Amino acid sequence: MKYPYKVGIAILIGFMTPLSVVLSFEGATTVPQIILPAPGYGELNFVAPKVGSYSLPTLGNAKNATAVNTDGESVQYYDLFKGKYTLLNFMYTRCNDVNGCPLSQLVFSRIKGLAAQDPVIAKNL
Amino acid sequence: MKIKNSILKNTLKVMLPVVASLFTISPVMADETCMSPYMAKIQGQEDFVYVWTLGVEGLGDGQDKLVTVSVNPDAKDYGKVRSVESVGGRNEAHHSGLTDDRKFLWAGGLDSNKIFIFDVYTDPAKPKLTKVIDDFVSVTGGVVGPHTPYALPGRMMWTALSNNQDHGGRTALVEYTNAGEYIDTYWVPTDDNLQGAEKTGKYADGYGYDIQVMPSKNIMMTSSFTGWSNYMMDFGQMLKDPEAMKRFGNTMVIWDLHTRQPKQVLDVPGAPLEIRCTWKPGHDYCFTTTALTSEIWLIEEDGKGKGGWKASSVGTIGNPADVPLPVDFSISSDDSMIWVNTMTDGKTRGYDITDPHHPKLVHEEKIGRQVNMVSSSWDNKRLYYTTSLLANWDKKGQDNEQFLKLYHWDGKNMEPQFTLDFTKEKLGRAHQMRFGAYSLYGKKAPKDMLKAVVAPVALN
Repeated sequence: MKYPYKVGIAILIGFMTPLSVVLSFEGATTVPQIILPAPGYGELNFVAPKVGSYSLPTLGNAKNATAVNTDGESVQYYDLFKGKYTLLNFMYTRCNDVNGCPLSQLVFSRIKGLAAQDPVIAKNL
Repeated sequence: MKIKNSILKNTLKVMLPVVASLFTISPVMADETCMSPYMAKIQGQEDFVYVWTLGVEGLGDGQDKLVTVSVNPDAKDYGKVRSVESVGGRNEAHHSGLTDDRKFLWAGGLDSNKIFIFDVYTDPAKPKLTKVIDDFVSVTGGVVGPHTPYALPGRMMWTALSNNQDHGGRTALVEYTNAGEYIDTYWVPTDDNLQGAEKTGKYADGYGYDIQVMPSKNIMMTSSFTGWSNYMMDFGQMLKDPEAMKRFGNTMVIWDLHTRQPKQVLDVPGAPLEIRCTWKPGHDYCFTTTALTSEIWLIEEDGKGKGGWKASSVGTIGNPADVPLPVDFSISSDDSMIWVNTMTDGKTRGYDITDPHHPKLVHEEKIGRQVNMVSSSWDNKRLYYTTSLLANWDKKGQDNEQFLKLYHWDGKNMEPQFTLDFTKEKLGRAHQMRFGAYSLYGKKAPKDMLKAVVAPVALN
């Protein structure tokens, strides 16, 4: 079964949400560990499967929520994102885990850059 | 809405694997030594051990239950039962697993095919049953015996042991959302239907047992045990039944993690059970132990440069001729040791695996008259043990000890800390353990549950 690419993007949100949760957890103690840069910064260790060779099922629907914008105004997620391809992640600006927020920010930037090359996608991103 | 756009397609093609790979690289993202790398972990002291427990007729309420044991030494009730959540019957309770966010614990029943979902984050001291999935067999098209739930991002992947056609070992993987919605079923490849997988040896039996993923290599691997007709049979009777003894798995399967397609079927004869993968970057290998032949096997890349994998026997556990029956084992977070339990002699054996091709026995300890599961803390200093394998496979009479024991390991010796007798407490057969901690959810233990702190007195 093939799924619309819009859904595929929605799935990315599903991937990124647990990412922010997982990487922001500091645990009960701080045990020093050696952290190497993740392969996501460079080439992958495997050949990525072809688009369409696997399913991207809908795991759930995004819920509406109220947020405050930089002007101090209350805004609704549905008003901001409805009908648009949306990648949404929550991260700490203080996050210093090299394989956490900085890497997810890099991935977001790459996606945005690639998507912007298409006028239809760019308009609805 | 369907978008035909090559740029976006290519974007997703490139970025989906990249995003997925983010979760998997650093040990910081790992769980306590044996669970999904996608899961938040407890690096420090755990507060609770959740024991998925088989009910015993005539003992207490006789029901399967999730037993929450207080294990933080600062707690007033250290080593005691904090709470019990019974599920209303007996199901052949077996394995359990936590979602990636560790908010819910899923637990399965091998006989009833029910899946129980407990909320463990609202009050980590008192998990509550919030949902029961009771249509596992019908929605999956005949999969029987939900065995191990395993966390993937936003999802839970179940291995299973059997099917409703012949109740033998042919089975499948079953995927759900974290909310408990069914997604899909993936049957394990067989000689009749390899599904495009490469059969590398003599067997393609389609059996299942455990699962681990290695996202940095985009693979998922499964092992193989036996079907309903054996795991519900009396153990002594089964050993005397030559036909029954033929119905054990002899394979492991390497799957493509993204596509869920089987890639290779590897021969691992003798019922390979648990799979334990290493944590350090560059340590791209896993271990399993075989129940019937008492061997340690190493699963690693085959070195041919085409993404293939191979399995090889690298050691034995005890004297295989005595049928020690290796069951659960645990790997240390620094990839230096595995702890292997053997049901028959009730022992745990520690092997140095710094050379993965030559495991070296460095410690041996008698835990009880029988022992099945072992769970290690992330710092490798605390080892918890429980006793039940299957209701009909546990030992009989006085040998049927049922407990949770904690040992401290200092690198050379094991020191017992407490024993919680599950029979004396009228709980049942103690099976799988999962850890809980207030710190996972930004919470702290209630002060009235902590030991009183004696303030230092100043001396003049």
